[in-house]
Amino acid sequence: MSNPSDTGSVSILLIEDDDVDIEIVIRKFRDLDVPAFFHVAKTGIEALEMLYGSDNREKITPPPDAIILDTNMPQMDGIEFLEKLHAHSGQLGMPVFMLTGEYTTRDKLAVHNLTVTARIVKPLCDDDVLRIYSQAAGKSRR
Amino acid sequence: MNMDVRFNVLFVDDDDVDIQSVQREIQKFKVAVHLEIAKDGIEALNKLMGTQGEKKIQRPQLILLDINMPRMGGIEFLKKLQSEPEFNDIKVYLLTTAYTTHDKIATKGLNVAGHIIKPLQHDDLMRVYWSLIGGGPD
Repeated sequence: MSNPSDTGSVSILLIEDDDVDIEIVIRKFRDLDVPAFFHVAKTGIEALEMLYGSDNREKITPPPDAIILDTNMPQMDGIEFLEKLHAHSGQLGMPVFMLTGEYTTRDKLAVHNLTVTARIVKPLCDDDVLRIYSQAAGKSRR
Repeated sequence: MNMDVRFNVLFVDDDDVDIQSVQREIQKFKVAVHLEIAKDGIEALNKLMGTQGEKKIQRPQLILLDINMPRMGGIEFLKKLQSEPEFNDIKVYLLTTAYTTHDKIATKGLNVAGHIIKPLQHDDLMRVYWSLIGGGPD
C-alpha cells in the first residue's frame, strides 16, 4: 500500500488504549480487504499531538481521512477529546467515529453538537467497516 | 434519481408517543412514505401475512422495529420473520432507546441491516433511504 491516492487507500487515526482492541480493528479492515493505513494513539492527548503537532511530535501529514475513537479510555476520555477537537481553531473536518459499548437516547441527544459522524457499538462489524471506509474515502477525494 | 418512488414502511412499536414522533418525522421526509403500524411482533406478522383477521399489507421495503415489546419481543419477531421465505429479505432497522454490545451480538445473524437510536431524525432517514436504494452519497 504505497501511494494512498492511487490505491483508494485511506489513512485512519485510531484512538484506542487496549492493544487487543487495536488489533481487532486493524484485522477487521484487513480481513475485508479494505485498504486502510492506521495511525494509533493510545490516549486523547497523544491523538491531539498527532493531529496538531507539539513540542515533542510532528503532526501527521497529510491529516488522516477519518478518526476512530474509543470513548472508554483512561487519562482523557473520548468526550473530553472531542471537546478539545471541537474547540481547536484548526478543526480538521474529517469524519469521527466513536466506538462504544452502548448507545442510548441520552447519548444521542447529548453529543448532538459535537462533531461526531456516528457512534458505532462494538463489536465492529462488516457494515461498520464499509461505512467508515466510504466516509473516509469520500473525504479524501474532495 | 426518481424522487417519486413511494416507500412502504412497517413500524413495529408499542409506544404511542414514539409512533407519533416517527410519523411526524416521516411526513417531513422528501420521499413519499406509506407507514403501517403494528403494536407488537404478532400484529406485525399478521399484517405481513394477512392472517388472524388482519388485512395483508403491501410488502414493505423496510421494517422499523423496537426490540423491547410485550407479547412478542423484537428478537422473537426477527426469528419468525427470518423463517418466512416471503419476507426474510426485507431490510430491518432496529429503532430503540438503547443499543449495547450485548444487543448487537444477540441480533447478529438475524438479518438486521442497522440500528437507529430514538429519536428518529432526518439524518437517520437519509441514511436508511440511501442504503435501501442501494447507493451512497459518495
